[in-house]
Amino acid sequence: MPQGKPITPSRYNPGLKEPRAVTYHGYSDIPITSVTEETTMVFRTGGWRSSRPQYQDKIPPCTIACPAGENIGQSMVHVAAGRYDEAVDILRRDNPLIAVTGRVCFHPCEGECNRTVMEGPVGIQAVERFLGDMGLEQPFRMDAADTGKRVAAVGSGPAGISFAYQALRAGMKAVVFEREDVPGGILATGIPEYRLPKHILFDEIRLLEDAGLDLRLGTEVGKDVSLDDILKGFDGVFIGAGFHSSATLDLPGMDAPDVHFGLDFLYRVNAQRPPKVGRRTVVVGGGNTAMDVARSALRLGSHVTVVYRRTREMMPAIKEEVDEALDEGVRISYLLAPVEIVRTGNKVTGVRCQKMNLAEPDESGRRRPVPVPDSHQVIDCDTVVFAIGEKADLSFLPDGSTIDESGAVSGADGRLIPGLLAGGDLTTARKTVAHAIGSGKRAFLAIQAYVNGKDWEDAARMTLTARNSVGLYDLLADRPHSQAIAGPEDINLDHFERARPNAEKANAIDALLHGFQEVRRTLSRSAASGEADRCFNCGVCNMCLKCFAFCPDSAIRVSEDGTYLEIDYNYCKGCGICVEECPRGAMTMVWEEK
Amino acid sequence: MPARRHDYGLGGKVVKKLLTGNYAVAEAVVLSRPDVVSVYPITPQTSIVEKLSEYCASGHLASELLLVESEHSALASLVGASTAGGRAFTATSSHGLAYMHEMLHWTVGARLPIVLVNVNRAMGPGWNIWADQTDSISQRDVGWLQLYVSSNQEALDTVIQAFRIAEILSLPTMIVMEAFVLSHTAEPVEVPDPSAVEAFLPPRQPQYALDTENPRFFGALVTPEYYMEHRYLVHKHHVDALDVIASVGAEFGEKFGRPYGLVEPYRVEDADVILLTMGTMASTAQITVDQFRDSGRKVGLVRLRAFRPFPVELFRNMFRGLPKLAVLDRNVSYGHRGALAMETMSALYNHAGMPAVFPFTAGLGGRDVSPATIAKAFDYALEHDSPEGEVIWLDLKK
Repeated sequence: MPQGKPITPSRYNPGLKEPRAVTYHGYSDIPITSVTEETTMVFRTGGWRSSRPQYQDKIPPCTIACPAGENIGQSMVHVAAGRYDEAVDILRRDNPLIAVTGRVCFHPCEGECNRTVMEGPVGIQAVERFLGDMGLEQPFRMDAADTGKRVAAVGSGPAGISFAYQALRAGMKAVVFEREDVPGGILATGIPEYRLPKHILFDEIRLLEDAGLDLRLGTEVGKDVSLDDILKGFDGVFIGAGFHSSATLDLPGMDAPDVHFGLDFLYRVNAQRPPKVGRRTVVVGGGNTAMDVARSALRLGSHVTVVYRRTREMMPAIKEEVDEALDEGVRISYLLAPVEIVRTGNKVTGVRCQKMNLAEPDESGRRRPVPVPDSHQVIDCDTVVFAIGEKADLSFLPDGSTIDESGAVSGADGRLIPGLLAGGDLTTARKTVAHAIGSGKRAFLAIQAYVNGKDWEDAARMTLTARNSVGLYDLLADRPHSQAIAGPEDINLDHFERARPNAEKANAIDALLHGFQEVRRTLSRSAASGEADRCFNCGVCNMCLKCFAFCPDSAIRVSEDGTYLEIDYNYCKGCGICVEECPRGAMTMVWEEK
Repeated sequence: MPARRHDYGLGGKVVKKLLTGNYAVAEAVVLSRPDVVSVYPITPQTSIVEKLSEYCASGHLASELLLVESEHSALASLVGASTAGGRAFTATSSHGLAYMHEMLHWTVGARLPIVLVNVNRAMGPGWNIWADQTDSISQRDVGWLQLYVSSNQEALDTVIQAFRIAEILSLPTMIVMEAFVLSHTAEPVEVPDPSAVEAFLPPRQPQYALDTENPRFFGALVTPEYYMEHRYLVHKHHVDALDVIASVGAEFGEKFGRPYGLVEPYRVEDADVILLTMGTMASTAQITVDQFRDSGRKVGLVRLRAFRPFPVELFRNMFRGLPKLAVLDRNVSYGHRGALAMETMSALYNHAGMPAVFPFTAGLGGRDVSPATIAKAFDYALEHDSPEGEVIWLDLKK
């Protein structure tokens, strides 16, 4: 945004003449009161300034909170203005799967939203879902020229897709090897239909194929093609193989046919070959997998009790998933852990559990559950599913390989394999779809640097330091901005009225009748606009023109094309009212340099 | 009450109504067609601006109505309106007038012909809402013209004249009438015909006005080089105002049948003592003058209408050779004497043949000034050669 350039002459400033001195004789010829004969634009009162206002965007907290790095702040400006396709394009700079994350993300953005000080956070996820669904009709915008480079991803989950997508955006060819017959990784095999309909997922991936994604389904790396061949045939390789095996326990009675494990259970549900569930199912675990299993079992006709060894607040599952599970009739018993599967012959008749107490925190930082002696109880059931954790299958890597914190892979000899990075659930601290998308992107930035000549050891470390968001910094490139995050103190609440939130919680449903249909709905256009209107646009100038209205010197002008503002420093006296009134903290005062 | 209508022969219909002073002022404002009226309430002027608000809401008055949050803003907003070339009006009283003091000064320096009705009310504490001249007298030096009225008819007539006087001179003008005895007391009032008033008071034609096509800066810095000359012009135009007030009042008489001047004398011929006063105390004093005359004592009365500009030469001419002049103030300048007495004595000093002046102060805070009170003043003046002390307080409780 141009700052301080000379303002072109206009009717308000007809080319700055010098002041003309006027003399009078006395009372016989002076005007009746103090009034000038001509315009006073000749007096450039800007010279009185000791500090000056500037337009300077800050970064909205939602944008920083997003593990996928989406430029939510800028996108919301477009949604509020009804420019949905531009809003979609902005989110898609960083996330190719917005219809998916609009449904399944744990929305940390809403946790940081400054609007919380009023009625509550903006329904950012609901708006993303709205944009995602609209975007299913909107092709991906790919502008880059072909660089002649090729990269590959192992696994078509969110991490691998994100990696390949960023490569396409950068003008590289991208091939994704997927061992299943369906793409999407855990999105297809783990998350049930009522949370993420498969047709939505496949529609988004099809759009990516239209944009050039080369998807090789039913191709298992390590069986159908070797990692070595891939390393030779591509300039960079990303491993986004994820966790697709369930962690197990070794308890008495585990080896009955009606004892299942979370990921396998969900795999079969999602493949339309659900396991048989009886009348009463016990699910062990407290994460999203446990909730998905519980709610799926409910829909398959079982009464469901979840057993979790800590308390409700400590459950790792997304809060809404727990709320909806309880609304649907899932029972949850806290501070309880299984010790034995009770059987009659091969048939499961119950789970013996013991009560737990919470002691000092363990390595996860959460308080450790310790058994209460002599506190056993049996929960009657005929089906048990353990959803207590996941494992990876990395058998396609060379024996003795290790993966470090940046995702770089070393062979058995301890030497780094150049151009090979692991990411997604394999490396991120938190195992979420959004983290996976961010991980795939940062891995691509590292591999791109390597392909362009950077030393591999330095390039690999970029996954630890590269920005989450490319979109944010693309857009800020030609606008003045600071690295400051816009906090509640940057918002001038005087300029905002209370409004009713539009994104309501899902209504409780009868799971058996509802089946696997989606529980939540997409916002209507008016509801999405309503939510976008609640967004403060923290730190992002949205041309509200309050600065223009408040300036007592009329020293702020709107550009000819109406897209940006300029300050006429010939007349701005530096009063700072514009900065004080800016509803979203997109301006700052700086001292004048002498 | 059915309105009686009768022609004045000069064209136009006149309506006679029973109106309080405040409502008479409201009728005058409607007839004068201001562009902007600002509104802030204070007892006992509020029914003026309330009535004007009703008239604006019904469309009977086509003014821009500005509801503001204080009297300072009431006048400040009119400074804007008047600088933009509009005709502007507001009303206030007592603490409200005091609150706009800074803007009273501004209006004069800016030479804006704003018209304001001030309902004379005491200053607190003690909190007092009744008739007292202290509020307007406190503003005698700001440079506003001040016209004191003694009847609701005169209030209506003077508001119309004030717009004309102010716009001729480019000086703001205040019409002053007393709390409750005029503001809230109903009298029969003739309301002139609107087209006759329009002929008497044409639209304002300002010399300068805010105009984005022709931009100027108003009220800018004036150094010692020229400030004094601007103020000399205010002073000179105050002197000129004496003739303007008199001629406009005479023209009003020709057009509407009721002439007005700077003063209203009553039975002053061969008087031994003349009582000089302002406002409704004068109409009360007429009764006392008649009583004294009936019993053979030669007294007379002069009601001063124009307190600013002060008619110095007129007074010298009127009172030359008069033995005694009693001056009755409904105010006092603490430690000295009432303002009317002070100004009169200043006007008469240094000139031969001037009367002995007897300053009286009465009626502060709305204390009733009855014919008996006036009689005390005449008695005192008749019995003494000169006053004992600077000012004599009438009806003061020991």
